[in-house]
Amino acid sequence: MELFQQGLMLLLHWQNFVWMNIGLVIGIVFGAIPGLTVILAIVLFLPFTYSLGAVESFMFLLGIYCAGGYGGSISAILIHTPGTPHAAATMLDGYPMAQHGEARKAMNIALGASTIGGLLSAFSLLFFAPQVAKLAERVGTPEYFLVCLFGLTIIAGVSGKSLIKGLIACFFGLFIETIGIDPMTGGTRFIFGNINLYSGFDLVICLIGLFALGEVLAKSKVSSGQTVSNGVPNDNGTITLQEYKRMGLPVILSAIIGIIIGIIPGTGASMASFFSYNIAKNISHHPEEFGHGSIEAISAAETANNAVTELH
Amino acid sequence: MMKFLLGLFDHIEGWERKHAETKITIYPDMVGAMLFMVFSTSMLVLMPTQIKVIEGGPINARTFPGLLLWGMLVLSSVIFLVDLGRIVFHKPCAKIEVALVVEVRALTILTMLVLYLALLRPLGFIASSCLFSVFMTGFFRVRKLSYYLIGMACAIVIGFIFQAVLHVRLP
Repeated sequence: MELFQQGLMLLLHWQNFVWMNIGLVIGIVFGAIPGLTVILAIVLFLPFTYSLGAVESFMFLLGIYCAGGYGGSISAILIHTPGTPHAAATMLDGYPMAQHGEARKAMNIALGASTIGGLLSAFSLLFFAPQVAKLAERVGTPEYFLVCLFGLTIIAGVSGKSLIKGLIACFFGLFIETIGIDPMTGGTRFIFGNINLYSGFDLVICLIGLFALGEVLAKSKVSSGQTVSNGVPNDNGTITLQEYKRMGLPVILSAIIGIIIGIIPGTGASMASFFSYNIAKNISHHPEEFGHGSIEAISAAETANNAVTELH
Repeated sequence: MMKFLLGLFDHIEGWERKHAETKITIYPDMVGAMLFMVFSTSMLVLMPTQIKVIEGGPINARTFPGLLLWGMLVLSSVIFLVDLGRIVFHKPCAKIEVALVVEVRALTILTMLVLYLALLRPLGFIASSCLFSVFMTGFFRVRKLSYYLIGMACAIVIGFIFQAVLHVRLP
């Protein structure tokens, strides 16, 4: 209890609190801008911490890292481009909600879900860290293989009507990932003599090319003189009690999923968010809404990706 | 400068009005399947030169890409043949109509992106980004000079922050 009190006092010390909030702002900005990742933000701002104390530095960098998980959902919802790879699942339903004029509501849901996911994950880390570490040590190659295979089965959930097209897209995505250095033999694969392809294609760049470019091309359909407006002025972002109740179970399940996936070294928030999206769709009373602006989808994806972030 | 731009916009809008009703009908599933078949076949043909292996083991650097490419080829062939059968036997088949004007706009954006990439190293990040922001602002037929200046200012400020403040080397 004494340790908790000391931790709380450190958190609420004004200098630590201010640096944490500065980190939050930077994390949200870097997370929201496609192409700028949270890791990049941490690398760029690490030198700033050399002149700070240990606690201030930790809180500053943690603020960047945790806020980046939410920041990605901003561009995912508003411009159909995930700011971070973790927000790809949020984009599936966040952008349709924005198109219906409920952008503020979608962002409020994302913020709330991110907060809950982060808090639950932080508490589980606080109380169960030694057990989590023991569990993480036991995860070996067979478990990694099963997790990867399981991640691929989610394709069945997001393929829509045509599983064949989903599988073709899956194979194409996996093929793009093979470009670069083969991890087993060290040989090069499909680099065509270009040294820039040694490390393969960066996921963030691919996401920008896939989504941001598509959005720019879609916007180019509008003739000159017309304004493109996705929202209506009377979207006040209010979430009703009934909607909170709908989101309750998906949020709890997604937090658990995010915590479990966060325990496993080497996995990512992207897998957790898509897995939670799939689970939320399966348990939802309104699965037809998924892909067209479902509040459960956004809450599930955001809870999971922030729950993983904390545990990582 | 603005007079030239406004004149150019009027000329482009005239061309678009003239071709507004021109449509192209395509079968999206067949076209998509054909693209993937061509892609997977060409990658399979190129694989021996692009991935060098030492013969002997069952699993090598070509195994996984080969599986994926064969899978892509087989599945896209299935889609292609199913749609071809539907067309031959006069059954309903998915088709879409695309407007020529929209496709020309999309190609223009892609060309501008390739030009931006090509100019990045010769001109540097700040100059090429300024040019790109002017092109894109003009593409959306913005008629206010201030918007062009804002775009250029953003490119300059961001370039300056990354180079001078964060010491990140840009092209």
